[in-house]
Amino acid sequence: MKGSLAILLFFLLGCTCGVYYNVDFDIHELSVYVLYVLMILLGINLGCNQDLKGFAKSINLKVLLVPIATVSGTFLFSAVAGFILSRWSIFDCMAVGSGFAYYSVSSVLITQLKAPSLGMQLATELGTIALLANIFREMAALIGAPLIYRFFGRLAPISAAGIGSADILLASISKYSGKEAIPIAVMHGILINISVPFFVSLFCKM
Amino acid sequence: MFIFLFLMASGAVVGYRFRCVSKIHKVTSLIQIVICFLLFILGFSIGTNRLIMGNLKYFCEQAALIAGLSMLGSSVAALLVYQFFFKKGGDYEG
Repeated sequence: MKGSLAILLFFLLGCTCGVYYNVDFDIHELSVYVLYVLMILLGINLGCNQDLKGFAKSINLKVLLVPIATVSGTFLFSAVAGFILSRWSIFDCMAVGSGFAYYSVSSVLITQLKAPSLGMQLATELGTIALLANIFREMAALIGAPLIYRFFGRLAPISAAGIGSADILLASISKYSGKEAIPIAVMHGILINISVPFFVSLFCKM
Repeated sequence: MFIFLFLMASGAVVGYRFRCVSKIHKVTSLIQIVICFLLFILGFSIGTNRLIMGNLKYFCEQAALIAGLSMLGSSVAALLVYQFFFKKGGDYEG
């Protein structure tokens, strides 16, 4: 929660600085290079996980059904948002949904990848919506975990968390879904984490 | 897309190779710092954009709709998976 608030604070600080100051270099180019660094660091973090082999062995079809449910449910209902929001296409809304609470990466990716087709203005707007939507998802999954568990069962807090199921939301998942759900939550988080750049890019190209 | 996946895969190989080095586990803190910097840059680019700053409420409404529907969709799908594949006789078998 502290991490989310710090990120939100930096975002708001950036907004405030942007309102009052201007820079004479391409800020979007800078964000791409920082994103490259982030991707390498995320890869290192994934690779140096001591339990990586144990997790790999625990993969079975049943465990894989949870991320499949997360992905299919999110895509289906994000597509519904595409019908409600006439300004954006179904695939734009699916690209936003496919961030799975990974607000930092998805928002920057969407802004960069949609710029050639939509133009910088609309791409930044969609990137902003992606950022806000994925922050809302993480916050809601964190705060609403007991309600999600009550109405949708033990696996729902994992699915609702998106990539957060492997880190920030693991404690609340353990509390409501039980300790047995931890390996499922971690595997779910890793697989969703890997899928984000792929699905966001895919829907941005459509 | 392939550049991002390639960089992530390269990082994973490096991480796996040096997983026994204790300092490499501090990468989590570094990730948090980079994400904060990235969000600062994103916020900065949004802050310089007068159109977006003047319509924040409008963006929040759209974001809330997509976030709400995404969570609802994944929760319903998770409920179906739980009912059909995980729940046997009222017991949880993860």
